[in-house]
Parts: sequence; C-alpha cells; structure tokens
Amino acid sequence: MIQAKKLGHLVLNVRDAGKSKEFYTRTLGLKVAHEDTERGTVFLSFGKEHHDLALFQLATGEPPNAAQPGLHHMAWQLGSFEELQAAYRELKAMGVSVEATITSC
Amino acid sequence: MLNVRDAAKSKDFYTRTLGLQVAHEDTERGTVFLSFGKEHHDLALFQMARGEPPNAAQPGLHHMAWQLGSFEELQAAYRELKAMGVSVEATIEHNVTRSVYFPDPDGNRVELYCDMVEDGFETMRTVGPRRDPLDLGEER
Repeated sequence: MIQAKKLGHLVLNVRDAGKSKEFYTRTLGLKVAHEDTERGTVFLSFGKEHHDLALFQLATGEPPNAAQPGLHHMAWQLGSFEELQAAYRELKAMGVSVEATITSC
Repeated sequence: MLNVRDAAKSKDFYTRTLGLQVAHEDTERGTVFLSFGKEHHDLALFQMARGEPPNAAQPGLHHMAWQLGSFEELQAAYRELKAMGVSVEATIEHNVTRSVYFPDPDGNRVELYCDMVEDGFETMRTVGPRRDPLDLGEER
C-alpha cells in the first residue's frame, strides 16, 4: 500500500514569476531558495525544505473558470489566532483584497 | 483543496495512490475531506467542476508533490501505480528528490517523491535544481 507522509510542495503555473514571488514572500513569509529569471522559475521555502512552493512562469492565458477542475485553494498554517489577526491586518495594509474570513468547527 | 468533476472517483484515486483516509464525506454536497490521520484534512475534494481541465497556458496548479519516506517506498509505489493501471508520465532524478509523476482523474499532475539531501534549502541556494531521467526498472 502506498503511504505518503505529507504534502511536500505545490508548484504553480504563473503569468509573472516576479510578481508572484513578491506576493508569496510578503503574504506567507517564504524565502527564495533558488531563482532563474531567464527560465522564469522561483523556488520558495520556509528555510528547511528545498521548496515549499515553486512558481513556473509558463502561463499566458486566463485563469480557469469555476467549471474547470483544478486547484480550488491552498491553505497555509499560522501558529496562533493572534498571528492570524496580525496577518489579517498586514494583508489589509498591503492592499490585498481579503475575500472572506471563516470560523470552522 | 481541489475542484473535481467526480468526488467519488477522485476519493478512490487519492486514497489508493497516496494512502489518505476519509475524514468526512458528504455525498449530497459532493465534498470529501481526506487526511493522513492527524490533520482535519490534508486534501479536500469539492465536486463543482464539469468543464475541461485548464490548458497549459492557463495559470493555476502545475503539480502537487507528496512525500514518501524513502527511495524503497518510491520504488514500491511506482510498482503499485503500474499495477493499478495509473499512467506514470515521468520519473525524474532531481538532485534534491527522486520523483514519479502521474495524472489524477481530472488531469491534475501529482508527484510522489523521496528526499535525497538532508538540507534541501541549502542545496537549492548553493547548487540549484537539477534534473535527470530516473530509471526505476522493471517496466511492466
């Protein structure tokens, strides 16, 4: 039986690797592990893994519509509710448009 | 969290290919929450899609990668995937991982990998990513 341990990393097909790198380092605290501006690839890490998120600049088209299968969302864990509150304030200050805030369970 | 066309089919696929267990399922709403047994969910499936998978020019998920414990586990997983009839797209020897790639029922690319270095972050910073073909042998 196949038994994976955990989700190791995600790779996103992006339209502008520089812009996405800027976004994910600011909103998640990821650091650049490796970047190749010619190939349009950025590998981001929290400082331990080779990458937790990578960005491949391969996309030129429109985002998938709601009827298309694929990524619905990805979720990144913070350490506490206080950190979530602070992150919320920082996102607002950055001008990020927060879509929803939900309490689950 | 994936937007899928057939939650039951995807549930079957992900429980078999990753070893995830069902934490919660609502067949009426078409939602399945899957977990390795600790988290509320490691992967969830929302059956809301009915269209075609994104084409290569559309931004979005390129692939998601799930970690195995060792190269032996990767070799065993490769054999099991073949036995299940999963069409393995590629097997790659990266300097930081050994990896097997295959598509899910909606065409999302899934990677199973094992780590090859202790300090992946340092390797990426100093050497960068490398890739070569990986021979897992015993093609069936």
